[in-house]
Amino acid sequence: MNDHITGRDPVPASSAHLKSELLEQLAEDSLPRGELAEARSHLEACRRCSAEFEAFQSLFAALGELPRYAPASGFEDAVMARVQIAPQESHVLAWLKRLMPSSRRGWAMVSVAAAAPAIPIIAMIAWLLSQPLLSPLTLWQWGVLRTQSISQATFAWLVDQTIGSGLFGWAEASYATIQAIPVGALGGALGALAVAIPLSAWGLVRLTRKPVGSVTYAN
Amino acid sequence: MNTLDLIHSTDHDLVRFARTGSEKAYRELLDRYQRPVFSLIYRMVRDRELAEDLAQETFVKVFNRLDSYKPKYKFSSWIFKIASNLAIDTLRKKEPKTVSLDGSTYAQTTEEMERTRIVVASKDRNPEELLEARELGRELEEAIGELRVEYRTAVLLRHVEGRPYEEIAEIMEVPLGTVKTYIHRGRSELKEKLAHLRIET
Repeated sequence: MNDHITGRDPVPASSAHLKSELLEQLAEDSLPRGELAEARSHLEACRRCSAEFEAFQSLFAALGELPRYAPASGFEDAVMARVQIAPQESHVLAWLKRLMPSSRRGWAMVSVAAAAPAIPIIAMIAWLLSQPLLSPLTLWQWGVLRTQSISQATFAWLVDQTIGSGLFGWAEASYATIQAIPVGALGGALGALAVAIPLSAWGLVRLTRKPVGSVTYAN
Repeated sequence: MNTLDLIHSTDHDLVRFARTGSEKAYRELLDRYQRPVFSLIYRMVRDRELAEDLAQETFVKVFNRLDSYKPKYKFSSWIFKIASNLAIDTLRKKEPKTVSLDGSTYAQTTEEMERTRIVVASKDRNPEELLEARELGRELEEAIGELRVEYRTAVLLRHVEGRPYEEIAEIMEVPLGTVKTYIHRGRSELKEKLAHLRIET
């Protein structure tokens, strides 16, 4: 390649031969635009560089035409016979996993989103503490008192709602109905429930953990 | 997950499905990469039987380590890295076998020889052109086989697999500048070796 610089072909006196790297880039269509026009005009004037450029072009075309070979038949099965396939997950679990962030950045974003509501609260507490008449102790006492009164009000409201909803009336009616059922039938129903509840619990466990049975690799 | 969905899935999705136990996802990955991986290894070690073993080893290694796959890298980079490392390690451990362009040295029958022969397939050409192309293909394969293993790997990844320089650097675990040097030197050597042939695009 070095003898290129002192080429004997008719080239404009001002320009030396183009470097191989540049000709390769040109043949690969990766030469920066700014250098393109100059390189092309040189190729038109220089037979040696033009020949080398064409040689690269031909080489790249020939390399690009090389086929991809296929391994022998049975290759896939031979591989699969040695692969330990992970136990199959239920669709629900797979769907839940897909919702989870897959990268550290994803986890960071979720954490920020979860912490966002806490920011104004922290800011408010900081502001309150900066007030001259408030100390951390008085703020704590105020917080405890407020929490107590809110809890009591909520509890009273819940009790009121429960009584108002007629739930107790329904419970009384249900008790009277159960009393009217013959003892034998009641025992049978309870027995059926005793079987059905563990059965459905077992079914739920099976649904969430579904191991792969025997796997066959035949086509 | 049906087969059509898998065909249209990205490599990353297929890895995720495989991790949840989908055998079809493993098979789709195999389908996508068995030819590229096998071709790369075959051209590196120049022995079909050995290439089959190494390609199998590559897939088994990759599939059994899917949990350690980092999605920030391309799956193709990962599998090519394992494939080329296995091939390079094997080449370093043993003296490379004599190149046999007429087929595997293990081939016993004419049929096996034909099946394992290295031939460049050509389309839409008359018999003379076909002969020329075949000759070029044979010489090219031979010239590639004579390159230093680093040049060979880089040139194959660039021109046969069409991988960008950055990905080749990732696969070969060398700086980008080194990859450019490998490819430049490999190409220059190939051009010199094939200079006696009349190459037409």
